[in-house]
Amino acid sequence: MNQKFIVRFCLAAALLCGPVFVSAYAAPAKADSDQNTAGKTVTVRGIVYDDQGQPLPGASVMVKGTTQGTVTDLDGNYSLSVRPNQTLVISFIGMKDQEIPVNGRTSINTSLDTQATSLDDVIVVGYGIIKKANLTGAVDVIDSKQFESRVAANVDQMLIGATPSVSLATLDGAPYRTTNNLSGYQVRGVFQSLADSSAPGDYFGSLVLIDGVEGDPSSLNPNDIESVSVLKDAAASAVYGSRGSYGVILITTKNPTQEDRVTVNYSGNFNFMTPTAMPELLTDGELYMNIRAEAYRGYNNKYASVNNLWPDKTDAHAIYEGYQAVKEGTKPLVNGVYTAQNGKYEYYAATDWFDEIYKDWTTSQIHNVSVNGKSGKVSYLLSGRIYDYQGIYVGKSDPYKTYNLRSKINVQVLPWLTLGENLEYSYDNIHYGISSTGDDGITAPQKRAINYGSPNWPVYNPDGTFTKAGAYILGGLLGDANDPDSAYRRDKTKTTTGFRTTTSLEAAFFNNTLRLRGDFTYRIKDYTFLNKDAGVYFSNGVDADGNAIESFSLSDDKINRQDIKQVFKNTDNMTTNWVAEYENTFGRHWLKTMVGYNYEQKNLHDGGFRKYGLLYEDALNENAFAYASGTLKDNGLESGWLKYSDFGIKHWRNAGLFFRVNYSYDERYLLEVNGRYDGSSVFAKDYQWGFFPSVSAAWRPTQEHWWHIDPKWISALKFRVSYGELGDCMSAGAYQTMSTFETKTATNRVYNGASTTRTLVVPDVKDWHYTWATVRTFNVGADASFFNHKLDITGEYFIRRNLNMITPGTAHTDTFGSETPKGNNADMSTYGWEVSLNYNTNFMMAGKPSHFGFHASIGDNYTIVDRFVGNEIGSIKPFNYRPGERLGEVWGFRANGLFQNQEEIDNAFGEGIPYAISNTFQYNKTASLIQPGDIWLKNLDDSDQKITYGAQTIDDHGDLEIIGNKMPRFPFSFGFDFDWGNWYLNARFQGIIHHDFFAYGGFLAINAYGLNNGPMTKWFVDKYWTEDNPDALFPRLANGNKLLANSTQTAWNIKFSKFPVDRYMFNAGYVNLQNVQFGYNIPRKLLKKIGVSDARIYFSGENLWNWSPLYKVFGRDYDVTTLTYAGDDPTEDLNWFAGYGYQYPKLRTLSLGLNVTFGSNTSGKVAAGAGAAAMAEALTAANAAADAANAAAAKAQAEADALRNELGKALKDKEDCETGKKPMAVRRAEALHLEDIYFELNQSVIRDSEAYKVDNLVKVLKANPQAKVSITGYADQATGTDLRNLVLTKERAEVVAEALKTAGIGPDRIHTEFYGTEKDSSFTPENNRLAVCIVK
Amino acid sequence: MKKILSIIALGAAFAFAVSCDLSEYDPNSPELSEVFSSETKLQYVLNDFYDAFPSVTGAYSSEPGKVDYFPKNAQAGRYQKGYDASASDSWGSWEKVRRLNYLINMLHAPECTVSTAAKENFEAQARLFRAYSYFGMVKEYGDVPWFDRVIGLDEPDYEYKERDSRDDVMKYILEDLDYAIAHITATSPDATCVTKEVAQFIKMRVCLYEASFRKYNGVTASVTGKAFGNYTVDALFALAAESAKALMDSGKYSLVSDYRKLFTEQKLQLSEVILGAQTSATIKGSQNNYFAYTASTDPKTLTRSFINTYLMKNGSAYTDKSGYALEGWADEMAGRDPRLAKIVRTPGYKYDGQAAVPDFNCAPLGYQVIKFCLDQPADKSTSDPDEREKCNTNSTPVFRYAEVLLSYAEAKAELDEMTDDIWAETVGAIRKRAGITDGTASTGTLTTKPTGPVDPYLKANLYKNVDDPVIMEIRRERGCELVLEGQRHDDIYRWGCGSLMKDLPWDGIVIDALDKAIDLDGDGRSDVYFCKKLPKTLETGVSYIIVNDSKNTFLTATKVGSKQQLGFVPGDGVKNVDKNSKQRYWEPKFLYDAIPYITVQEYKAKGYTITQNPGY
Repeated sequence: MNQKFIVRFCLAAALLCGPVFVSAYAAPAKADSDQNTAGKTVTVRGIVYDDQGQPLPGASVMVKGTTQGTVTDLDGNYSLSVRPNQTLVISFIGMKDQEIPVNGRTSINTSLDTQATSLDDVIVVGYGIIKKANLTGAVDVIDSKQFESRVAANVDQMLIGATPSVSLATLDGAPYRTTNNLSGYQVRGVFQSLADSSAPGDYFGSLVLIDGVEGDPSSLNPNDIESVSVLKDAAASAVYGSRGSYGVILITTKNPTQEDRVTVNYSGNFNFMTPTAMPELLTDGELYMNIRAEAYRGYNNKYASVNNLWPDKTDAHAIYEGYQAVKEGTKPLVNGVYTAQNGKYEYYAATDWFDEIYKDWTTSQIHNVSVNGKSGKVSYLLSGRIYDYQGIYVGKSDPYKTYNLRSKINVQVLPWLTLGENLEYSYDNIHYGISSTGDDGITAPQKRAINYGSPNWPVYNPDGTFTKAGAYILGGLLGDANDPDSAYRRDKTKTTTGFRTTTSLEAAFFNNTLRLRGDFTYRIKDYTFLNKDAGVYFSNGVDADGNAIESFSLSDDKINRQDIKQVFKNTDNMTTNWVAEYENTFGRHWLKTMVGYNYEQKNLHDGGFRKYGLLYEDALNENAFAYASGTLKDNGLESGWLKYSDFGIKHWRNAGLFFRVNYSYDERYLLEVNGRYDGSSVFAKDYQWGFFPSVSAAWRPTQEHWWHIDPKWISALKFRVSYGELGDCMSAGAYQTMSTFETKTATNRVYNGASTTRTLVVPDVKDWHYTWATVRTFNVGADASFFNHKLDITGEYFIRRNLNMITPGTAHTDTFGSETPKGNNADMSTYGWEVSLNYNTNFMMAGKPSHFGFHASIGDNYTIVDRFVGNEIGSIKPFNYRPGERLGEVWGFRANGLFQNQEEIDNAFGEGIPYAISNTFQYNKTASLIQPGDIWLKNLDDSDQKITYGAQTIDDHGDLEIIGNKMPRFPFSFGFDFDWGNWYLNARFQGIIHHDFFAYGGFLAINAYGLNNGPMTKWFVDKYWTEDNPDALFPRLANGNKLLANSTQTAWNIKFSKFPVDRYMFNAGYVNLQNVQFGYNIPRKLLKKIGVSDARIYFSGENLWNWSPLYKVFGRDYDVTTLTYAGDDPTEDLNWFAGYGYQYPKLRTLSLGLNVTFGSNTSGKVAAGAGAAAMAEALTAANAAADAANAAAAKAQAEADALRNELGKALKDKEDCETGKKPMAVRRAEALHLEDIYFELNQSVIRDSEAYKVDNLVKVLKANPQAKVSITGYADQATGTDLRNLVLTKERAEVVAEALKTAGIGPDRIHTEFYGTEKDSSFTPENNRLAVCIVK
Repeated sequence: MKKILSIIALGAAFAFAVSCDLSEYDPNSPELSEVFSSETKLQYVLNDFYDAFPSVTGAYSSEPGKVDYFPKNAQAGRYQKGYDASASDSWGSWEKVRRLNYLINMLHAPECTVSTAAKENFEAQARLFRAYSYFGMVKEYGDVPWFDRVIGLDEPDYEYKERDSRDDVMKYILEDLDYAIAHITATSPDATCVTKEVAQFIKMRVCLYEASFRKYNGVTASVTGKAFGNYTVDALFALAAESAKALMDSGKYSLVSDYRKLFTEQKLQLSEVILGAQTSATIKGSQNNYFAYTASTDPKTLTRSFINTYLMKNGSAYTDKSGYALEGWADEMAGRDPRLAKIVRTPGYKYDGQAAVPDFNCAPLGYQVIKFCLDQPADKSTSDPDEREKCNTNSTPVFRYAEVLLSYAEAKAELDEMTDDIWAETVGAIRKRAGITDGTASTGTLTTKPTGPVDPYLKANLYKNVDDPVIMEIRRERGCELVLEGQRHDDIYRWGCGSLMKDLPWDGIVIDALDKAIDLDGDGRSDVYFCKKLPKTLETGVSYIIVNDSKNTFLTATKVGSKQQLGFVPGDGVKNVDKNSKQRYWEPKFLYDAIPYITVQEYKAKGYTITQNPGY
């Protein structure tokens, strides 16, 4: 028998069998062999596609009302003789039937929509999975599309805007920026501790678990992600207990394939990146100097020296004269520099410092390779990723590289036992872009420009040396002109390596009703910060011989002591989880219970040193320093060169016991009860443990008998409610309950001859009588599905109460002599809602199958303080909360506008009552000198005739008022997917609707109101008040205007440290086109020739467009997406402003990508080498379709589903088939059915009488090396439980498969299936059989 | 089944290997029991309280901004016009008091396992620091609540108690000091740590302060109205005299021969210094830099009104000299108390080997301080201003014997027990060491106390409330000897002369004329040129100093007779004088600082009362 024969045989068999199956199960009808009847009929040809636009083989094409029909071939083609007025019924399992009137056509192409509903999706929840239909808690699932083909550097950036319930801080546009080093992920609003009165703010991130263990998503390979679940309410996150009180984000990585095959996937991107927004700077040096001088005069009432700007000029008049001389030609310029008689340089350049600092564009590359395979009992998934970014700064720039490696191996040790190993390694290396002035420490070049970036300085002098500004701003990037390597003597590098190993076991007992899972994880993360500090030469002039008079950008001594600072941080983390699960179905009752144990310990170590005087450039060894002990004058330790050393350590432990009970009656009424008994080391001994229960329930009216609304309108409906408590220990902090003596080194006095000694500091008052804070959540939600599941809408409303938050207690007066100890002292409530919508439809467009999907989501929440102990006097200062206070409130002044003339000032508070303002807000040195052009604040408090802030209490707040709220409101996202044939296009937008933003001096990137010598934006030139510009937005020029200056800004503008004015409060809401992808799937026909199974080329873009109402005021100078968190960088990376035009620019990325898969396709519709398997799947799927035709059968099916769920992974393949996850890749047409193999009751050995069938099978397979076999087990209903029968059929299929393998048939040619009694079952023991089918 | 059970058992065993107590111990810091079982560690705890005494970089710079004789462009905030209770938001050194009480309480707790002798020694030292902290608070606020134990977390009656009478507080302070004197066994060979002599010295200073403060400010009851019952003024003077005498009789201390060496040597002069701020190879001072700092807004100069109080070398009052007021710098310095040349630059002073007149950019009034400075750059090897700022190797005294002698003299004089003998061994000895050779009836000689009349200059310009020439001369001597050592503010306060902060003129040297190059030291070379506007041509080697300019200038020149006298205008300088709060100002309420407004509110919110100081 040759191949051709097999093909024909199969084809013939399929043509015969197909209709039989279809008619038997899908559309019961009489057999009709009349299909080739000639005469009035025409032959209709066409192609049937699936919803992904792939040809659909094995679809049934029937003539309506007859038994006449056919099935599509490999390429989805069909051909059928019909009468012109007949109607075709096209159907396929898992797809919606379609009726198409022929209307005389001879060519009809069509595509079928998926019928699988989202209710059948399996969702990852705490310590397990659950079908969405059975879900009772509030859980968001983030579509894996959020990560597909994205070109952002890390997972954090890809998750921004993914769901309204998760907010992520966006500090700036650096590709290495992750949110985890800020406040992390925040589920449902900001978690503010209300605890600290001095720190910038304790904000707690949600718990992020990667494969069940706390992890850092920013070091995760985005391509490894299989799914992301966000557990939002207490019920959903209850089993995570204390760590989950601020929401839980579960990230599950992909698992190895369950099929014996190997696939290799490569995907790569080449990206062009360019800043989205860059402030346009004023480069007219003369205008710039005039504004500066005027601003100085406006405040000081006099002109003064501006030495930094202008080394040899002392006042504005001289500068004016200088520019006149230049214009008149008496001061000839060389590149903007005039060399004076004495050799000193005068600068008249027009430098745009941002242009000098940043490249116009840069590039990055991403490469991913993964190998996924299974061989016998071992399955494995190896993946690797390289991200390589070239940096946006000029010169040596800020290159960033990251590598990820993962290896996941599962071994089926015994039929009931699987062991797994999951190894992860990540490496991350950042060279920061740095300036060159070491005296102020290492900082970002654009931040250095705040002090030196005036446009009249050029970068280089005519003699080729740096100017001072050039050296200070760019020296660290470019190095000396004659020694470019000098740039590398200054460096700041952060290297992070992470390693994690998880060993797990899974065991199943008693027909899989009892399962045990355990894992043990060890995780380490190391950071190394390396700072190398050295100066760069610059010059202020030339000597008599014309040689540059060089100076150093560091003071002299430091030249000799270029120093190195290294800081190490090490975190290790040990976690173990043990879960036992029992699940069973009793008639209509489904019960699933789980008990578990979780233990975690974490150790944090850090240390570092700093040394002076490098012996050679790359010195790192502690002895490789030019200076031995004591050489340098140093006020530190006696040894001289060791400037700094610091070591610290912290330990932390948590443990918990938990349980969960799920119960469902008839899939209509669902109930879940959770509890966790939690312990943490942060509490004192008798206060360590707490118990936190929760309950949730759901009702599915669509499952009720009385429900008769057509699924065409309402396809599914579920109402959910949950209520529960979680413990919170995060705000407690390690060692806070202990009275320990802080150790210090006293180095400022001699104690009996000793220059240094230890001191021990008496501990502050501690109160250990506090315990877990509670987070109580009430959540109601509804899931609805319409129009045959085309439209899904989910809505949630929640109230979350943080009770007994751990904050300092009752305020003590000074005599107490200690910080007030913490206790359970505050309550607050958060109210919020979320709505999301999904719409999907398939249709034909221009003859090609098309798909359109749209999704949108929006939410909002706000928080009210209910109880706060310690602010009895009602202070409104930051960190002093009041009951009833809404978090984020901004106290400020209201403005009447700007004073236009003296008369207005003199009568500001009524006829003859002049304007008066507290010293704190003065515009000039003498507060009484309010002038036209100053801000006219409203005198809201009539009791005095002065603008004051009173006592800053709720009873006496002077003229302050709540003028806004800085919490971002209504985060939203929306997007669409559109497929047309092999083409696809999708886009995602994300944004916030409202955000009160105070535009003060720092933001404006001008120095007129506070900054010194920095660049000025072009737009500002006509935006300040003068007599000729009375309608200007900003007040008259006055340096140091405290209402707009930036001098006292503390970290994060989450707390304004000054008093804003409503006139300068703007809505900085925005919408951002976060990602667009446009691609083409190369047809497989073309690929086959080159041995590639799948390939796609695509274009991907990030941050392509955005819009904000703020642009109406300031133009597109600023990246509005980062303004939410504008402020100082709270990380230790670099100290710069975020937002305000000085942050690392957000990058617009344009990318070309390629994705290629070799070997078997892991996700495609048609598996080239898995035909038989796929065919068998399709056959059984047809059965399922038949069952679905009547309600009773569906019920039975549901019960079977429930059973199957419990068989876990062994059954995963099949389940995937039925939930539509795995496509039906069938070549029914080529099937060749052999004789069934029968078994005895409750036995799974091959009977002697049946052995010949196996032998025959071997012969057929050996004769046809291309052929594959599918073996499907069925059992009778007469005896045994359903579950037992299911297992029996599995064992039988495996026994035969094993026999075939023993006979030399490759395992990749054998596919097994088993259905127990679920399908094709009768009450006769003869049905204990294996159906065998062969395919080419 | 066995398999299952064994797996479950294994898992459970592993899981529960961790006991229910999850407590973690802080590896970074020792716990209570570790500290209180080790004398070394207890010493470390005590070390934390030495901040009470000035360190080597701060010993000489505490006065500017709150004294009468050293100008500054802005007085410390609490002495500015308009200062009120809302301007401060915390008060007292309560954290220190609590920590000391914690230490003292715990020394008696069972956890403390060191020997009784050691306990007493540590307690004595702790009580010394507590007394010293309270002394500081009494000086600042008058009455303060006394706490001799740690305040409990929920003890509002104790925490919010009303201020105790300063008389009672004085009793507790003296109890602490007496205990310290009796029980400190620690010694300090280099005079850097507390000893019983330090305790005795503090007791002397406390008693003298309290006695004279009460006497000259008429304080007879607490602000809460409680009458004083523990001590009379005389009793306190007697206690001061007793403590001073004890130190004098101890035989441990004597005056060193060279006044200047006290402040310019690397080693503290141990015969005179009772407690000092010692430098080392790594701990250095910044005096040379501090007193040479050039800024017209922050001058480093004494004023002529005060310099006038220095006697002539022969012991007569300089201000008795006719025409003294119009003398130029070289003339006024001629024949003066030799000590003056060790305090400010005088003709003949050499810096780094070169003749040096005052630098008017730094000391615009002409009295540039050298008392704590070296006569050459403290470190020539560096040009780094950061480094230069901290390279003085000379140590400075904190408590020294001369103050004991002066205090003894003052206490005895106040008790009316002054004799020629006592005078000779106190003021006489100090003048003798200074190089003064004799005296007059009104200033006293080296061996005889003054008999009158009282010095008219001091009476008219400084201590208007003194009629006794002995007391007047003791005040003169105290001012001259201890100048810039940190005592001036307390002295003028306790002498009832707080208004000197406003009234003592901030005047400078007298010059012949403006717009003219002046040869200050008569060496034939012009040194300085005062003018309102720079002349067209500038001479090299001459400092040009702008006076009376409305822009940015603090220096004035006022016609005195045919000459011009320099002066300093604080606040925003010449133009905006009187327009803002930084001008010189004083009112009686400034005797005490205010209890912060917020504190008064806190007491009220809890249902308690704290009495505010008068005037606030």
